[in-house]
Order: sequence, then C-alpha cells, then structure tokens
Amino acid sequence: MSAPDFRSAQAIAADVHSGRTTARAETEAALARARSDPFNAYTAIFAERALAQARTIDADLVAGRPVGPLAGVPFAVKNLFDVEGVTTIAGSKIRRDAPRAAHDATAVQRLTAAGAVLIGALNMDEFAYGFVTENAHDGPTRNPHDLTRIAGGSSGGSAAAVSGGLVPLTLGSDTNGSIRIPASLCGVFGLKPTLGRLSRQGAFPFVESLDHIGPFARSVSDLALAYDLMQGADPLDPLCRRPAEPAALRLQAIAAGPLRVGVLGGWFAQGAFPEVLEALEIVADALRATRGVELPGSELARAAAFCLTPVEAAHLHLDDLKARPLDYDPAVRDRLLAGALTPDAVAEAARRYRPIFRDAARKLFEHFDILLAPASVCPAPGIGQATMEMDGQKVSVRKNLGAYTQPISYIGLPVVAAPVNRLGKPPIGVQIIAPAWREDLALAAALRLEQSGVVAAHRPTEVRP
Amino acid sequence: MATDPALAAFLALDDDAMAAYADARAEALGLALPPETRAGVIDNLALLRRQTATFTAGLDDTAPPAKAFEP
Repeated sequence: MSAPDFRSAQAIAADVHSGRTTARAETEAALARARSDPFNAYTAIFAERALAQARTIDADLVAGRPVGPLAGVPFAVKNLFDVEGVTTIAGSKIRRDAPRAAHDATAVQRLTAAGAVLIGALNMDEFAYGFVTENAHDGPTRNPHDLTRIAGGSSGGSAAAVSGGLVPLTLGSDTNGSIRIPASLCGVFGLKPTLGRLSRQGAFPFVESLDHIGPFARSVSDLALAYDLMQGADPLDPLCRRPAEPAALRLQAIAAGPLRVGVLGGWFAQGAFPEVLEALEIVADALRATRGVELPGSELARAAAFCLTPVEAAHLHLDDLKARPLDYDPAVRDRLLAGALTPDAVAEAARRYRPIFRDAARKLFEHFDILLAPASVCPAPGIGQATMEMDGQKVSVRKNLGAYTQPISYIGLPVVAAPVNRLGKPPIGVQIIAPAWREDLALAAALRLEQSGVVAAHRPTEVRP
Repeated sequence: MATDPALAAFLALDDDAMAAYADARAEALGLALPPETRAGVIDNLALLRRQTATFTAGLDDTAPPAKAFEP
C-alpha cells in the first residue's frame, strides 16, 4: 500500500492554499492509496475526474481566483451516491447494468463546490441493509485496526477509508446505524444529522422514511466543516427544507459552557460487552453525566424500526424480488422477501409509534442537552462471524449490532459517533445524542471530549497485538 | 391492541403456521419463493412477527394515524 496519510482535511487544504503542496499532488497520492487499498474499501476509482478537478484548483490558485475551504482535499463516497457518468450500484449486482447517473448527488455537488476532490466510491452492505459490509459481490471490507475483523456497516468502506488513512473525509448513509456502527468499529468520528438536515437527493434510497446521510472524519473539526458545507435546503429532497445553520464556528463556545448530560440505561445497557460499558463510563465521567437515565419505549422503538425497515424497503424492490431474487446478496434477499410478505399494516403501525417515542425523547431533553449511549454492542466481530453472545444468548451479529442505534434513528435525532480513546485496544465508539436540529450540541460535546483526550481517532498502527 | 384485520391476523400466527402464511402471501403477491430462500424467509417472517408483537404492545386505539413525521 502507498503510505497512509493521517493529516486532517483542513491541514491538507491549508497546505494547498499556501502552496506547500498542490491539489494535483494530493490527488495523485490519494489515487495511489486507493489503487493499493488493503482494506477493500474502494469499489471504484475516478482518476480522470479527480485529476481534472485538481488541475482546475491549481490553475485557480495560480491565477489568484478564489477556491473553496476544502480545495484539494481528497474524499470518497459510499457507492450509493450518484456520481455523474457512473452507475450507482448501491452495493448490488442488480444495479450494475443500470443507467449511469446524470448528475452528482447534492452532497457530492456541495463538497465538490467547496474544492474537495472525489477520488472514488466505497464498499457497503448491499442496498445498505446490514451492519457488517461483508458484501457478497464485492467482498468484505477489512477493519484497518485488525484485518481479520469487519469494518461494520453498512457504510463500512467509508469508515475504513478514513480510519486507514486513504482519505481524510468520506460520506456514508445511516438508516438504522450505518454511519454510527462502522465509525465505532473503525475508531473514527461519524455524524448522523437530524432527519431532513442534509439532502438525500442522489443517494440511492433504502428506507426513505428513515434514511439519513452524513460524513466521516478523523477529527470533530473536519466533521463539523464537512457537515456545514453540505447544509441547506434542497428542493429535490422534500424532507430537506431547512436553511443552513452553520455549526463549526460556534462549537468552541458551546463546548466551554455547561452541558447537562445523561447516560441512557435500560435497553441501552442490556447485552453490551463489558468493554463497551467501560468505554462509555470513561466518557460519562468526563462529562459528569447522570447515570441510568431511562428513555421509555426504547425497546419498542427498536422493534418498530426493525419491522418498518424491510416492509418499506421491499416496496422499492418488489419488481426485482419477483424477477431476479437470486441476484441479491442472500443476507439481504431473505430479509427483503420477508418484508414483502409482511402486511403493510405492520409498517403503518410502526409509523404510528414514531411520534409516541419522539415525544418521550423530547420530554427527556427538557432535563438534558446530551444523552450518551453505546454505539455498538461489541467491538468489531470477525469477518464471517455469524453469531455473538448477548446476555448469555447466542444471537445473530447482522441483526443485533444495531440494537442501540436503531431507536435513535427511528426518530431522526442527530448523533455524533465518537471513538473512545483506548490506545492499543480495539476501537469502541459512543453515541452523543442531541435534540432534533441541535447537531451543534452533539458536535460541541464531542469537541470538548476530543480536546480533553477522552475521544480520539487513533492510527491503526497504534494498535498493539 | 391491533384493530387492523391484517395486522391482527399476522400477530395471531405462531411459528408453525409461518410457512403456510408465507406461501399464501407469496402467491397473492405473484412472488415466487425460490427453494434456497424459503427457510431464511420463514425465519425472518417469524422474527418480524415477534418484533411486531413487541412494539404494538405500546400502541392503542388512541395513537393517531401516521402522518408526515417531524423529528
């Protein structure tokens, strides 16, 4: 592999702006890393497009024309994002002969407009249905901290590419935990914003009523900047109506102020591996959090999200499920078929429970600014590992990794997944959960923790055997 | 309490009845279940039924019909 690069996005942009390096040099280096990717994070590389954009940025700088805040910063996206001229495969075999995308997805457009250079597309669970990124068609993405372990999913390529120093910034999507789980298992930061905050236009849908998109990065500052640059209403996504509310420049002041923090107990403590609870305690201590806070109905919310997902997704896939079911990844196919056979009344009931659980969360946020919970039940399981133990019971890895993330995305709350600083140990992340539309609070809490050394995105080489 | 007939019927199934239910639903939808998918689909249906029972326990007739969700 070409040498990994662990500089931040903003450090690269500063070097490009100052002339210490060029966009072309950064792009060529990122392309070389992509071509020798040891994690199976990439599924496509866009060299021609990337080099063309880099040349334009360098020419603009030489001519004294303005460039964006991410000028020359390489980034990559989960392969469900539309990229102009490229077929959006969404991790599937079925879409490999679909027409090429006519335009970039809105999020890709906005980062590109800010000067970020798109290097390639990244591996994922088929149609974003899974937490493991063991894709039957493209192979498993390997965890940079331990190549025998999964990267998590469904945005596994996005987390691994950032964790392994291939690029400083990636995009993923999160319907039930697909940003937060891989961020946690790969030891990087991930942001799942409020439902509707960032445009999903051009992101291949999984469960439209639950789908979010968001960034991965190795620092809170990069995460917040990318988030700010993608904000703003988009008439092409009916849920994305809110004007931009930039957060990055306000975080330091919020982080320095008082934050009322609670640790979710009950459902969010059941079945977690001891090291997950230990990691959560480190964060809770640092934020002087109130322990054992109960969010009523969490188990029910998880069950509702679990049921809504395949029933709604199956509607999108019904024609292909009828015509070519064996072309699906088996792990996805059987769940989608089961969803197709489940009465729509189940999904309707799952939607009716949503405001009930949302109101319970709103009530809790009258007393807290931030709620903490584990991001995943356990550190990264092994590749090919089908089951794990939760509370002494053998359960499916694929169906249970998201036990703590699903209730939160079900009601669309913003969450930063932050890697707990456990140098030399497998990565474990925590969910920093804020009220709807208050991403700034979650990011500020993450910043405070990062500045005090409680959370950190370690280089994979720092893991000791 | 499930007042919708389709929901009530689904909740009333036990695991032994799931295979017959799957076949009937598949036929009604024009969806052929390849043999290699059958066991996995039935397992997943049984899991969905149990999960449905879990969350519908928190719903009653006073829960309003679903409309556009605001976080």
